[in-house]
Amino acid sequence: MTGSQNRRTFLKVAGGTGTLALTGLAGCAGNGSDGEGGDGGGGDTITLGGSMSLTGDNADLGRLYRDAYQETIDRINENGGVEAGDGNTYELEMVLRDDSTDASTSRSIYQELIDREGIDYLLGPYASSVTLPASAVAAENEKPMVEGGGASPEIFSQGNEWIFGLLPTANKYAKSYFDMALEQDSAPETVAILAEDDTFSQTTADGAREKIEEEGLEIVVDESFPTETSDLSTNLGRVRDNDADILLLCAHQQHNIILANQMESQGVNVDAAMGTVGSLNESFKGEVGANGDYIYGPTSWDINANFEDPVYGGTQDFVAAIEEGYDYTPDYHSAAGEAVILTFVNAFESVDELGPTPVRNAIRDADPFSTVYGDVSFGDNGVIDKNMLIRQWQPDPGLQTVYPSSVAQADPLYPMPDWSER
Amino acid sequence: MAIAQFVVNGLLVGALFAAVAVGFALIWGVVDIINLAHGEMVMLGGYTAYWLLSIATGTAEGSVLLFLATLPVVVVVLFVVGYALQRALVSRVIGTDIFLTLLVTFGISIAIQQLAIQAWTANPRSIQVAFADPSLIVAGLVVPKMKLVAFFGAIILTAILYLFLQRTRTGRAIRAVSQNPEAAALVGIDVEHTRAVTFGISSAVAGGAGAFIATILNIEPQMGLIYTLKSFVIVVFGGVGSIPGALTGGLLLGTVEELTAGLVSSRWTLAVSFTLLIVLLVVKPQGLFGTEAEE
Repeated sequence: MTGSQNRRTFLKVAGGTGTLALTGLAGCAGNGSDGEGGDGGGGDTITLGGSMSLTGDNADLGRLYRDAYQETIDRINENGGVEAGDGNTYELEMVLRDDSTDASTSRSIYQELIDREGIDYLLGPYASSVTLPASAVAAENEKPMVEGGGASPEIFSQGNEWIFGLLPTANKYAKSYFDMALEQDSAPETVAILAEDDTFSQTTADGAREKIEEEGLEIVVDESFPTETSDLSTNLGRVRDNDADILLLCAHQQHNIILANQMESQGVNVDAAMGTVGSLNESFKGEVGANGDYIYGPTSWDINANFEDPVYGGTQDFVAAIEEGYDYTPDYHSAAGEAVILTFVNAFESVDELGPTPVRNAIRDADPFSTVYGDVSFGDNGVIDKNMLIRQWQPDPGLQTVYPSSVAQADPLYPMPDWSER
Repeated sequence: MAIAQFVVNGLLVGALFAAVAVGFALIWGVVDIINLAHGEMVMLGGYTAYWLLSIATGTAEGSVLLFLATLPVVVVVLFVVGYALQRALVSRVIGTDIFLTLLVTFGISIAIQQLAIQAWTANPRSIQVAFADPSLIVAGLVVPKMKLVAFFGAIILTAILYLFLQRTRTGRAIRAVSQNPEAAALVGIDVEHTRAVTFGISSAVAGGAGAFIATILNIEPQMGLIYTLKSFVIVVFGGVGSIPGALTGGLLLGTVEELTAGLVSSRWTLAVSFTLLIVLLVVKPQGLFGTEAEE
């Protein structure tokens, strides 16, 4: 099958719906779309196409997306396909080509998929560095792209109305942490922020500052440090001396390890402490041992959550399907991949006529719908309107999802005990 | 009080910088090479202690005595690594263009980094030393116990190296080669062997410092560069080939960095350190201990 829909499909649509459908066809032709071109000779099919890291350093991650895409499409087809808003039922088909995480290869693939294959609906690639140029191709050709592999705010700050991202951007990483803390009995009044001076961590800190201001909290320490910094003693001394109620470390794993160890040696007793990246890894806990207890971290998805899903039933059914079919345990990349497909399906079901522009509009305007990844809807900039989940290392039984309460495995251990009481 | 705390923090970490830098100064002074792979010796020392403790306890956690027991092994292993590197690679470029020596040691540093990533992954690691109460409070100043142990450990390593150079036959041979290799050879000193021993000793001391660093900060395959850079600054502060100069320079650098972090921002520490370096190069290019540097 070469077109996103074959000509026979549109002849049927035109004959069945009369003037309205003909107007729709004219509209599609008017915006330059050739998505209806090509006689596939098969049934009614919508083709989704994209590039993905299927070889190279990120092949293991690319495989997670590919498998989730394929498994979801297969299940949808087995269940009878997509009942689109135009009154027809379509099978889904996927064309996914290897870009080896190379931005120029990816650009070429997308251009070819659009020009030669007549594909109207684009699946995003993996990695922000590839997604940014790929999203430009989508915009130039006015084709909607839904991606679950790029989280850089830069992708969504270009005024591009054709890109939709399922990973929360860095500025949202810390917000749920404050929501969680503010729901506790002894809610915090003062906050300390320590931020690595790389772009991602600074964006995370900016988002945190906005949230802190919205909530009327007071920032008593706000320090940035270079990535090369190997000692946080002086900055942690500031946190201790300013009696911050809660601490946010916007940094990567190496600084989370330093934080956990030096909080003890510097006698920093706060009610809560969170590291934004790397604080939930097993390797983090392995390095810091008991010093990592009570530390929080954000995640966009939790394998233990159970969100309803129209294809699988729920998150746990999705996990079981991937484990059974592909012999590994899915992670958030997989769940985001599933949500990419459901985002398109939801839009196909919503539009009166298929075409890139109506589908793009339907994605943009969609009310929140549930997937194995959680509720999906998009903000004006195309980024998923989704908050992070918060997990905490608890002494027993270990890593637990503690916020939001709808998917929590345990209550947060808040405030964390003083070091002298551990 | 805050300034006193910053100074204490600076001195505690500065002693470790000094222990790393004395080896760098020694190689520069004796072998006449700027060893860009010196930071990798710190990294290898940290990993050696980490793995020894992991083998002993299964978790890289242990008492301070158990950790200290790993140090002799770390020192021996890194001595062998340093000696072998000098004999196999560095000796081939001694006396050639300075850019060639820089390229060789830079290449060694990259190769060691990449091998370490392949062997141990890029994940940062740390050694957990158990104390019932992790910090002392002295006159309102927080002094982490392990940092205090590392401080004295670094001072002792530096002192042992100084005494070794002053009091032993090998030490005198090293100093002789440092002052005049041709004359040293004329009086029967095996110059190549002595240079390799120097390389081994400086690597061993750097490795010992790396082991302490693994207990108070963390270690990762690409950590070496920043220690090489700090060593460079310290040696310029103290004077090339001067151990007292390196010790003073290390303590000074640690204090300046912590005062900058505390009074201004951590973002300014490297800028201030390197500005001081430039000022010192202009005002007193032979370093604070210039006389020994001239030797």
